[in-house]
This record gives sequence, C-alpha cells and structure tokens, in this order.
Amino acid sequence: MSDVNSLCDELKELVVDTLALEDVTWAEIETEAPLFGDGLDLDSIDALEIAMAIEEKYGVTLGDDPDQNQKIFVSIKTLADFVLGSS
Amino acid sequence: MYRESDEMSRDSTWDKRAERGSGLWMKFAIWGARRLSSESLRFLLPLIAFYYFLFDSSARKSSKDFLNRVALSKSERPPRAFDIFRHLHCFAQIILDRFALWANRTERFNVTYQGLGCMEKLLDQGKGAMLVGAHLGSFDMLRLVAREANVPVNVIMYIDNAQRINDAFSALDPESMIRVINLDPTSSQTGFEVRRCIERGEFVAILADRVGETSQKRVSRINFLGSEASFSQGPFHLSALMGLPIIFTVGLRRGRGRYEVFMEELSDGERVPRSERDALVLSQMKRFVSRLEYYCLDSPFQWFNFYDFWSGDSHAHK
Repeated sequence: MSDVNSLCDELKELVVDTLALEDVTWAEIETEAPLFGDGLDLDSIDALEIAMAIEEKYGVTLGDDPDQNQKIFVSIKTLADFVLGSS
Repeated sequence: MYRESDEMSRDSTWDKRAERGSGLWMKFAIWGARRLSSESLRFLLPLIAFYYFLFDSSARKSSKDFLNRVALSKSERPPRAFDIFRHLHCFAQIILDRFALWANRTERFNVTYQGLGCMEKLLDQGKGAMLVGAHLGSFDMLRLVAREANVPVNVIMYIDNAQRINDAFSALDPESMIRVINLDPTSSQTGFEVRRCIERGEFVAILADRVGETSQKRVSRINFLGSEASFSQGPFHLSALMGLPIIFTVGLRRGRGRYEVFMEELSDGERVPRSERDALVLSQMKRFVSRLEYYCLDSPFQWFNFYDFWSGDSHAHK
C-alpha cells in the first residue's frame, strides 16, 4: 500500500513539474479527485504531456487503447494503479 | 441534436446501431449531398444570398466590418451594400461546392496546388504533420489534397458523434481519405488520438481561426487586420509538444469549379525545452495569423466568420 502512496506523491510532483502549474502545489492535489473537466481542469493536451512524461520516467506505454486510456486518465490514483500494474 | 444525445444516454447500443449506418439521419445526409450537388441548384444561390442579406442583420454587420478592415488595409473604398451581398453569395457558392465534394463529384473541380511539395517531403520521410486552416475559402478541398498526396487526413472538429459523420463520408465516397476526430476539450483523449494518427504517418487538420467555448485557458490575442482578435493556442501547443511540422492550408475558389490550394510550411517541427514552448507557440501563431491576413486580402469574399470576430468574447459565434 505504501508503494501506491509514494507513487501517487511522485505522480503529483510529476504533474506539477511537467505542466509547470503555478497556482497549485503537489501536496494540494487530491489522489482521487478528477484531473479533467472539474478538479485541476486539465485538457487533452495536458493529458498527452503528462502521458509523455510518465512514459519517459517509468518506461510504460500509454494511449494505445482509447477505452483503456479513458479509465487510466481519471485521477492520480488510476494513473498510479496503471503504472504499478505495468511495471 | 438534443434528442440524439438524449437517446444515446438511455440506450447503450445506440453507438452500435449508428455504426451500421442504417439511421434515417445518414440516409438523409447522403440523399442531400447527392441531390444538392446538382448544378441545377446554382440558380438558387443569389436568392439564398439575398434572403440572408435582407434578414440576417448580424451576418450583414460582421461582413461589413470585415470588408471594411480589408478596404482599410488595401486603401480602397469602403464596402457597399452590393459587396456584402457578394460576400454572402460567395459563401453560398462554396457551400454548394462542398456538397458536390462530399458526394464525390470531384470531376467537376479543376484544382491547382501550390506548395504541395512541403507535404510530399514529409510523406517521403514518413512523417505526419498538423495542417492548420481557417474559415476562408473551402477547407473541404482537403479531401482532394488527401487524395492527391495519397495520405489519410484526420480533421479535428467539435462534433457530437464523429463515427456517424465518418460513416456518411465513406458511404458517399468509399475511397475517402478524410476522417473526423471529435474535439472534446473536457476529455483527456483528443491529444492521444492525434498522436495515434501521427504514429501511423497520417496528417491531422484543424481550423485554427476560431476559439472553442471551453478552451479559454489557451487563447492568445493577436493583431489581425487592424486590431487584436482571439486565436486558439491548442493546435500549435499540441504540435510543439509532439514536435510536429505545421503546414498552413487554404483552398480558394477561383471561378466555377476552379480552386487553388495553397500549402505553406509554418514550422518544421523543432522541439524546444518546455520553458521556451510558449514563446515558440506564440511566434508560430503570429506567422499563422499573418499568412491568414495575406490570403484574406487576396480573397476577402471567401472569409466565412459571420460573427464579431474581434470581440474578446469567444462565444460570440455561438
């Protein structure tokens, strides 16, 4: 479980760094809050940028399957579950 | 439209049914495209244009504002009533040509290409690119561009169900190289879909002159024909992120059945560190707007944004 938690923190930092978010710190991002639409209000360009950063850092591949992708890009938690499941 | 999405939420098999292509909507669209492409309808165009001239005051107003800006730039006389009528008439002509294109009556068109080489160069390298266009002339000419260059072109647009229009397109033209991608700013998926297209070596196209209603955070005000207007950063950001070459594309009508397509490379797809990306995006947007302005001055009557384009409110055209 601590694996998931520390990975979630890592991903939050990655999101803030990658997108150079200025008005939010990584600690303020909620693990289960939606990343798109409401929540952080990210758009699909942000999603791709996050995906590219995750791919580079963790050596996983995102975005090949649209249906699966829709489920991965929900929250920090779903992203972390995917990264853990793939490595 | 409302009823369709309502039905969709109730019925999870809706997508499957629509994919089979037996829907009434599609039959109507196909029938319309075939019927309306008939040359005999051409005589109706002045009547349609005159109707809008008389009754659509906001189209008249925005046309006059645009033509006036063009006249100022070229130091010509201000637009008269007939110029506005001509503007509306030109719009109707290009819409009729669009139906003919959709119905695959391509033998009616005599198209010359300028700068197709920049696309062919990328194709030789197996590289995809972003084609950026505007509501100027006929973006539907991309259909012929895709065929000429023999490469699938994926058009990104706001549309409820992209699958449905793709079905209609392939029913009308089984060899269609045009595919529509839904742009949903609240979804995480459009960027991935673009990446998949590019990875297949295909091209992606978007009309980059209008700003979508929910994409407020990616908007720049850029000087265009005398004052600042809002333009979307989206296509340029996406290209910069993926290192995509950007090609400006416009198809201008030169007479009955005659079109001239222009393609110009705006960016060769250079990658820069994130800290420099915003500056790169802005400089590419400025190039886009300056080329757009050039072609607007060339063919002002083919500008088809009949709303207050210079208003700060990007919802104005809704």
